Amino acid sequence: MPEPRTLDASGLKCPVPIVRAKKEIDSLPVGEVLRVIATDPGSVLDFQGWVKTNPSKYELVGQEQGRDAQARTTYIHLVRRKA
Amino acid sequence: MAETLTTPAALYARIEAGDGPPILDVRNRDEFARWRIEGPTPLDILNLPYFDFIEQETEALAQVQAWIGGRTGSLVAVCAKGDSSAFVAEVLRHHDVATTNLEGGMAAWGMATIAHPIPVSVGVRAWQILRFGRGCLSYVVAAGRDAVVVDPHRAVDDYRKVLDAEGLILRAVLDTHLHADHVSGAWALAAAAGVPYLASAGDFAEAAFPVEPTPDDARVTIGGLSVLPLVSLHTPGHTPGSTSFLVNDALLLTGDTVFVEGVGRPDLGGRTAEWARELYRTLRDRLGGLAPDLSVFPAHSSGRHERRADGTVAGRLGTALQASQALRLNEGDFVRAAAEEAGGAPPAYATVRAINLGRATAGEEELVELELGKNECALSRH
Repeated sequence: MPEPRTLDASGLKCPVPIVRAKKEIDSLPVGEVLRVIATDPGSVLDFQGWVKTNPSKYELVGQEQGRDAQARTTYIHLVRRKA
Repeated sequence: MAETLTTPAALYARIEAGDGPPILDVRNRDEFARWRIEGPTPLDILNLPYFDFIEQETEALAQVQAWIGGRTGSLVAVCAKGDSSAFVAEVLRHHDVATTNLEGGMAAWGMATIAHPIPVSVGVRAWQILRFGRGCLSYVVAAGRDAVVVDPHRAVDDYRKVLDAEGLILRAVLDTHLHADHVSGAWALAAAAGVPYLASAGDFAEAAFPVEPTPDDARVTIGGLSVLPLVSLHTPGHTPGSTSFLVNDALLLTGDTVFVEGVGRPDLGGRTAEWARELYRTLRDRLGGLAPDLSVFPAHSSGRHERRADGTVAGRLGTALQASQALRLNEGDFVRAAAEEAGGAPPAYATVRAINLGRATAGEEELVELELGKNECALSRH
């Protein structure tokens, strides 16, 4: 499987991660997954909520927590374009 | 041009005056359900997440326009930190919906305070510092120019403002107990002013900074002076070291031991039976032995209805004790009832305790997360 396209939204405050994620995913072919890296803990519930506003178009296929090179906690959101 | 920003203090003043604007809360539904802006009467508040404005702007806009109807005046947009609401406010203004942004969002709303003078007899002055978004209370008590601060939260400048405005000199900082629901500013305030930090040995034995232990049933003396008519009484139960301060034989600062309408939870430390027994004895023997007409000034308020006309949150000791089961049950039954009511402590509490002992640190963003929401220190059923 190819690596998903990655959007690094580290250090960005809401609403920017979702604004950028929407722009990015709408440019992907149907079926592909966008991987968004964020550092805002609020992004976890916000990505869940955003995807629910358009369930025929987007699907949240995963959310993970990690740590980046600067030892910041990261929140990784995997969103698939369904249509 | 209309103002595009408002502050928590300005919004609070409008709400208190009965002139609250319509509030558009653009956080996600879970965050909104957990904690939001409240007023003395129900507010006109709509929750419409900001991502709705990104994903379906036309529908979101129509929903706001239907809600506002023919009303004039600006609505106030609110989010977690003030950035998403600024984005929504701009979208709305672009469509001619007058919108003001709450600067700093709920994070700022949860930090802001207002100081209310407490009427005390001659010789002593006191102020109750209300953190209105969260219901946390703290105090400045002064005799002459000498002052102490009790239970300060981490926005320590709010206390300095009161001290400076009144020409007071900070002599000591006191804590009624080791707080678990909010990050204390006591050590920061005491260290910056070079004054002692007084708190109970029972709660602060593991502190990473020097804490002067509070005496029991004795006048608090500060640097050899005994300037304040402030008596320290050990009142364990909510925590093993919980202490109440009796000011001028008139005001009782009870921390989380006694609230306006009930008593503190003994189940937040994982030793419910032991702490409930302590609480029972505190309520019955120690506080029950004081004059029932004493005014109770707690560290938390559980609602707007607890406010008096002068703005302060205060109760009557006898009434608060009557509301608890301590005066009706025997010790065994009280402890059993507390065990049955025991619930989980919010997971952030362990981290907050470690921070308040100086054994952990956190960045501003993490501090905001740790303090999110209302406090949960009161026993829900009395």
